[in-house]
Amino acid sequence: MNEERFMMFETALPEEFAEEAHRPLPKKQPWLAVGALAACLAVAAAVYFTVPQFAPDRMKTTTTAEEATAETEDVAMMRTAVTSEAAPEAAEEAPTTYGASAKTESVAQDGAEDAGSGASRAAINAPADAVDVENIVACGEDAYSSYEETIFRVNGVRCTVRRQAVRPEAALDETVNGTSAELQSELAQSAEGAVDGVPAVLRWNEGQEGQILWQYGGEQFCLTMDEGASFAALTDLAEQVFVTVTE
Amino acid sequence: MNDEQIVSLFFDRSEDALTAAQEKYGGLCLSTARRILPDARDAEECVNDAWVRVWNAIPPERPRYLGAYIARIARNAALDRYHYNSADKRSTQLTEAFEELSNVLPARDDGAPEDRQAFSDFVASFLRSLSRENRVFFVRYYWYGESVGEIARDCRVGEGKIKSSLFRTRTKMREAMEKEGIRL
Repeated sequence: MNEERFMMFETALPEEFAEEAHRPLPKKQPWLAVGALAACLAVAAAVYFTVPQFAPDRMKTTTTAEEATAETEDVAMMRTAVTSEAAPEAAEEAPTTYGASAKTESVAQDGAEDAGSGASRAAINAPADAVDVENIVACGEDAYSSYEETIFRVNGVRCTVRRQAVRPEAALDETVNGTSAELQSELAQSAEGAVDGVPAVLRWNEGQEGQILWQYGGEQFCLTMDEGASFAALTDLAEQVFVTVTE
Repeated sequence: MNDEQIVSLFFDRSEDALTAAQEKYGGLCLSTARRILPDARDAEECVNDAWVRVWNAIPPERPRYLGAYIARIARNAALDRYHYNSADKRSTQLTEAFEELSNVLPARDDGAPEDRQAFSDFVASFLRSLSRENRVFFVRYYWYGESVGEIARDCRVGEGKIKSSLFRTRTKMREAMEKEGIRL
């Protein structure tokens, strides 16, 4: 064995990965696939039957069938929550936030070009040791300014995962609406990474705040940590919270 | 005693911290060193050195995962010892793993090694491109010298999954090195 080659290889391992190797891997739960679909259907049914502006007669005033089919299912669902100019009274009644649970799930198409190849589900699960978990759904002027946010604390660090629909041409590191323009300019380090095999962009100040962005199924996901950020910490947390199931 | 309590003892400069940490992670440290160093006494000395390094590093550092932190320090201490101990270069679990990998990776024709910094940068970028799971398997096998069985037990996955992950990652690494013109 060539000693020099061996030492070069063995000393080339970045410290962050040396330490990451012995941290516990996020648990993959097999029942999640079925649970995600069941929970999604239950939430959709509950919203449909309990929120007034979702009633079938008012939905007719929100968007045309042609427009709806041109979008992914989840985007169309968000549009119905916003309501159009044709029903201003409904818009006034529309709540800006609702719901609070430890887990959010939805069915999304894997992009328009993959529409025929089967549905992929993306779910955001707060880590097992998270506390103060809060979910917020905010309806904006259109689907692209509406978003869903999961906020929680892990080991005292406040973390936020925001998911929202993105236009197909949006760049991966495009600023997420309302959350990161200011933050991004303050983050000194950046790198490309992956979350569950999906390309991701990371920005952070070592040991301080940071964010990781990735796109999946026509949505952009942005996870931010208020402190303790590093490449490994951001990736690790993102892998824990982001779950996808393809059928 | 949980990790947070042990770290708090380190911050209080209590020697009970070392006792508790050694009780909990002494085995991990020793096995990490033994996979790198062929001589058992060398490994033990190196583990003692690792405890001194841990004592001096905490505080100010406050590791979130104490076991992972200590394993990293033990590995670095063992590699330092391996490097300076030129008399004893018998094969170990780690050197055997490296030989298996180095047979696959592109080597320089003239025998001269690649620029160290360029290679480190390549490794960092390559590892970042992997999923967390594949990266952990790869690092534990080729950088910690753990066997497939050990990794499978600890990560609670099948050995077949780890073997196929290592095979795919080796291939990816070779392709990435060829693409970037990196030689080891």
